[in-house]
Amino acid sequence: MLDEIREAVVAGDEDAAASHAGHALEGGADPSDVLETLSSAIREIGERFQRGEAFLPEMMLAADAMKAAVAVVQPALLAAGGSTTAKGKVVVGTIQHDIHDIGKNIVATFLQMNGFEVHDMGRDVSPKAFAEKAAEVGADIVAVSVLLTSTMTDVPVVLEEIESAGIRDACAFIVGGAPVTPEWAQAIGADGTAEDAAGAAQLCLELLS
Amino acid sequence: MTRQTAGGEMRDRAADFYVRSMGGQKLAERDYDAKVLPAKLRDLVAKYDIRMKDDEIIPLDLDMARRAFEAGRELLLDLGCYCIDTERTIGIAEDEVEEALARAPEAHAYGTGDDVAECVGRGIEDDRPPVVKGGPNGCPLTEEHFIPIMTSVAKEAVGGVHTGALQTVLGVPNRAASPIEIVACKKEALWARQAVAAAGKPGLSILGIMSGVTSEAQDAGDFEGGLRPGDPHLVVFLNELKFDYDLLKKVLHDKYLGAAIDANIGGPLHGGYAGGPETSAVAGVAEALLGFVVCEPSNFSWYPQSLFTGATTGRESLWIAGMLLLAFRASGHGSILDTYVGPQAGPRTEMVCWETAAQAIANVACGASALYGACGAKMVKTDHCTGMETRMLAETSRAAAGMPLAEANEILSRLVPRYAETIAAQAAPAGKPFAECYDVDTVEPREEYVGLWEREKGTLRALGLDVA
Repeated sequence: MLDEIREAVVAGDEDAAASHAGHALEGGADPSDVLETLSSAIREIGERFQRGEAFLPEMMLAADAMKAAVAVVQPALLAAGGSTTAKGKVVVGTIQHDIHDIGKNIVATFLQMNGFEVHDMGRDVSPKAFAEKAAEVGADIVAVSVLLTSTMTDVPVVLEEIESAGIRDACAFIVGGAPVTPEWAQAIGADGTAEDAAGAAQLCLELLS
Repeated sequence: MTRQTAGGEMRDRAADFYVRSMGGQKLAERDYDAKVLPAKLRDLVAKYDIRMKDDEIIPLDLDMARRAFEAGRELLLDLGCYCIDTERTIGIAEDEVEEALARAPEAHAYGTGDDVAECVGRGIEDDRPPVVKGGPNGCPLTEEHFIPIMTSVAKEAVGGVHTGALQTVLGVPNRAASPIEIVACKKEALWARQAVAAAGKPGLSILGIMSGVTSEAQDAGDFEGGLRPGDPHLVVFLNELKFDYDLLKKVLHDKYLGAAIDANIGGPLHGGYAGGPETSAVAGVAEALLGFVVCEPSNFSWYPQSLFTGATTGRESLWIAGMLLLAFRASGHGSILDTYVGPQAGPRTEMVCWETAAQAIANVACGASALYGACGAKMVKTDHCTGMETRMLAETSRAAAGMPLAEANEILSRLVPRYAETIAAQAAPAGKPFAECYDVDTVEPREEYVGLWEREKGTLRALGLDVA
């Protein structure tokens, strides 16, 4: 049954992943084993993507399948005395006036695959909306994506809004995208940046460790 | 340009799409991107038996190319396109596609006076060289070096220039949807005109506008002294087969201006929603057809980039672009089809020479009408563009004109391995900025760079490309 769970996640089959996870638990499987199977499956698809052997849609669907299965496993894990608390809450989005969201979608998917609770605000997100969402969900990290140099100017305003909302101490702020350099990220007061989605997920793990 | 309805009301295709965008089938964008489109693409690739072969860098099977065209056409007719503002799909009718293809020009003259360049729907292995529209392809430029960079490009043997995006204007950072964005777009057009004049080619066509995000700002480039109506006005679809209202607004503005439209997709994006090489090729065919339907353009351009390399020069990207061009050409369509050239390596590197030459060989043999750039360093590093990359593109494009597909494939099979692993590892050198490649005052390339290109021309000759 664990193999079927793994296959369902790799295939991006949300319903099958949840169903197989439920059947595995009914059959007496250890919830932590199911969770490890899910993690292993999602790592596999992530590695395939990084090798250029899997593509964005497959990764997005696999992440959705994992999320559905985790929702099934979570009550059993808690009942068994375990914890499925997410590694952290991340609010992600593309800065306002920028409608390029593929990079952001890859980052959101990698974060989801790495066990973060992701609040994806989509594209063209205002600085105020970032801060409001972060306050609403108690975000640990706000991650802002930007592709165009003329939309970079609004990124520091997100930090200002986070500070105005009084949540800066509890909330890290990271930026990423094609025109972003480590020097620029540091200059605007960000807590970090990464070259790619895998790096962004690693950065988030480090910020919350 | 516009059509008369029975009631005498003037209607435009872009306005039609606005109306239709409110009545299509509602579909979450994530479902469209990750489920509906990829599933349809996979089905069509299987149905039409489209396969990238291990021994081909550009496709050699013209029957497969014809099938790829049919697959792309079927994709558009079955799936339609997607409006991100209303989150609805919009169906496309067969007669719309047929009318659009019949309407698409097979030749178009860009520029004025002595600087006119005629773009034609080149055929496969056509011995006429393509037009090169040189320049930064939208890469960020400082205002300090904008005019020298554009002048350096215009000095080369080009049929037009493609502008870049100004980072600041009079020291003020460019900012989307702000008043300064309007100024940036006006300065971009004004300074590009000054640059082509400084190169002694005042009539050279200018492809823009790149400094504005909003359609309002892009439209601000149209004024006396700025873009002329005959200059190609870029309108960009979203990956994949998607559009927003800004695109429709831009098209409508351009149509009523009587402007030439360059309909473009920043793709198909290999590795993204379009998936692998075969599915990307099918998506790209549909995207060009969509561009002709919605925009009534003078031409369509692809930027066949890879999500994995950030470049247009990898093996998969060369195959995809080749298949896109061959699909139209082998199916008897002579519309003007162009490609962006975006190497991963930057100026003054050996690799930028190899990558540029490879894409020129691949796209020219397959029937590209015009090639844009080249602009290296993945088009994201400020001022990492010079006229020398344009020179490389122009010279290698001329050398590749008339080359049989099989010969092109043979040369590519020797050339592409020189850099393929490096770009796959995202390890290409970013190169030097303009000021380290050129004397900024005289706008002449430094000897080191000229010498580098001359040496690498020798390398290319040894590989079989007879570059002068």
